[in-house]
Amino acid sequence: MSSTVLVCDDAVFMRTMVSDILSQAGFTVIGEAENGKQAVEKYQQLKPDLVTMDIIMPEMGGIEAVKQITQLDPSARILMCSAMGQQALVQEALQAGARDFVVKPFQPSRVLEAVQRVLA
Amino acid sequence: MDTGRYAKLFLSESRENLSEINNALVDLERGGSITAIDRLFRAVHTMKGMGGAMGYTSVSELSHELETLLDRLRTGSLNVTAVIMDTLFAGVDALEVAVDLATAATPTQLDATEVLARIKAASSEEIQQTFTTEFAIMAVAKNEEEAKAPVSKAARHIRIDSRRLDALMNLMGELVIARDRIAQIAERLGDEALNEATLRASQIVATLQNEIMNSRMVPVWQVFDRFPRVVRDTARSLGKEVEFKIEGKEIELDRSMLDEMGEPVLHLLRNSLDHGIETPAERKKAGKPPTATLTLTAERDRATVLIRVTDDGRGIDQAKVLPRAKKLGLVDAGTTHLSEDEMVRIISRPGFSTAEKVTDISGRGVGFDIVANKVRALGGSLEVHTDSGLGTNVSMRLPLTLAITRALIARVDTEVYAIPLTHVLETFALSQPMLQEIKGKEVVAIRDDVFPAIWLRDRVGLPASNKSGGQVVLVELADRRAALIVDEFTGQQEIVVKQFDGVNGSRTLFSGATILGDGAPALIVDASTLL
Repeated sequence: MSSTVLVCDDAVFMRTMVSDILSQAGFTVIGEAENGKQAVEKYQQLKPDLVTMDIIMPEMGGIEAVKQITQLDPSARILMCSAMGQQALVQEALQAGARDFVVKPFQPSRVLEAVQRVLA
Repeated sequence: MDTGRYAKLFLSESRENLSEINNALVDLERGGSITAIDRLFRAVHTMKGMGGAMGYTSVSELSHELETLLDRLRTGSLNVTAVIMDTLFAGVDALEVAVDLATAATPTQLDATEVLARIKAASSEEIQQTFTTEFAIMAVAKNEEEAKAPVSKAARHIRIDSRRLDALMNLMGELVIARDRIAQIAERLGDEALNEATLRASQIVATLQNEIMNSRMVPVWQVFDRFPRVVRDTARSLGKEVEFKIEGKEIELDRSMLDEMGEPVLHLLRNSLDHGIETPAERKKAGKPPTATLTLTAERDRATVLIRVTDDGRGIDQAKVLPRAKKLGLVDAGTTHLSEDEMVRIISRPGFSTAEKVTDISGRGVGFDIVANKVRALGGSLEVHTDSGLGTNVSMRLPLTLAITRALIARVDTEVYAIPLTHVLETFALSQPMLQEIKGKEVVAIRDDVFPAIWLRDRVGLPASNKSGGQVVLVELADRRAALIVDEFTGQQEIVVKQFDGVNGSRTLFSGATILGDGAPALIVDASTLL
């Protein structure tokens, strides 16, 4: 059975793009969330193998979501999706429990490499 | 990466973000708090990500620089000043152009060198030392943010191409027609079981129709949200101070109607700003507060939506309307005063504003008659109240949808016509004594009122035989009424309107066609052309 992924980003455009990259590589995208709060809720519901997480989102940002998810499930595997120039935030996310990160704009190969690393 | 398939998604989401950005900018300029900056920052950040993914460098560069500037404002290492506001507005304008160019049929990149330099210069300014006030602002902002923590939106939404919904609606229309035919056949056959089954199917079709209608409803903010920026820019260029309020944003309309009503509403807002609202100096002289209030309201009233534009300006100006009305021969040369009603009627006349442009009195005439025409074409009505010196109030009443309407089915000889109920005031049977003649014109007299008589058979070119009896439809548009005479009514039903692709601007007696329950086509009478 293929690994399941929850994609979290506030832009539909970005969610579509990440979902496409992952589904084409054989992963099952079992859910999408448009902010951190939804991501936490859906994580509990869906128990995905992997979460891709945007950092800047309305209502609840990605870093807070990482903190809450890892508190619920210390073994959660979360991949941060950051924009250029957010090194400090990425550091914070990694300290909060995220496993790895990719930088936008996405290269499909980079995304897939990172996903493999996180799931390994 | 094959980005072609994402271009459409990019464009629609960019539009949403740009609209949010413009609104947040206007809020920020009006003394909005850190919340407005946060909203700006998030939306600009999203634009940066999307632009980068699509390889639209001008979009991502502009967003990146704006983001840097906003970050300094957000962390308080730079204060919001008039210069910064102007820079932000200029940057966002450039961003809009960059999106348009990048997604055009032949994509190009905007050369934004100048704007980029301007934003960079603004970001690298030194902070003015105003710590105390800044702390105060931050503290207030924080409370405010907590107070209006956004209500969590129901997340059960999916995106559907609007053409799909149009196709569904069309099919629904055909289904309604088919249902009516089956019902008629069942009635003729008189089989009880068949009747029962038909009735059940009819109920389901009605529910389905309702559901499809509802799925096409969109809140008016989708159109209203672009107005704050337009109002701000227009007011600024005219040197006027305006507080713009929007009420009833969440009211829903069918998308077909929503797409059409944006333009007339914009016309009305521009009219208010241009003609109604005075400059701060003029307002002070008149004993009014220097800042004018302009309000846009949406309200649901049964199967219609009321859109209202209200300002506290000078009202419609006698001094401007009267000379032009005389020049066009609309009033006697000796007239010295026009009543409110007369003025409204005069400015709604087709061509009145064209004359205005030719004589160039007001500079940029945005025609009230254009709005009146458009609203009529949409099956709505327009009502204007103006109080000299106190302001103007324009109410636009629109049906919820363009696709389905209730109509009276009328017969003349063997031909069948549909008369939409939008303009129908009442109906009654015609008796010979009602038909009278006043000043050589045929009229219908009922109770104490007299209405001009219009024989539908004359208008559609049927022979003028037997003009003694029949039925009368009293049609009304704004404050004009007429008695439309037909042979007989055969019923009242919901019709699915198939609009004519007529020559633009031309108006005929018919606004479209429909297919009735028995499969026969019927022309839809546009009552407004009769008046």
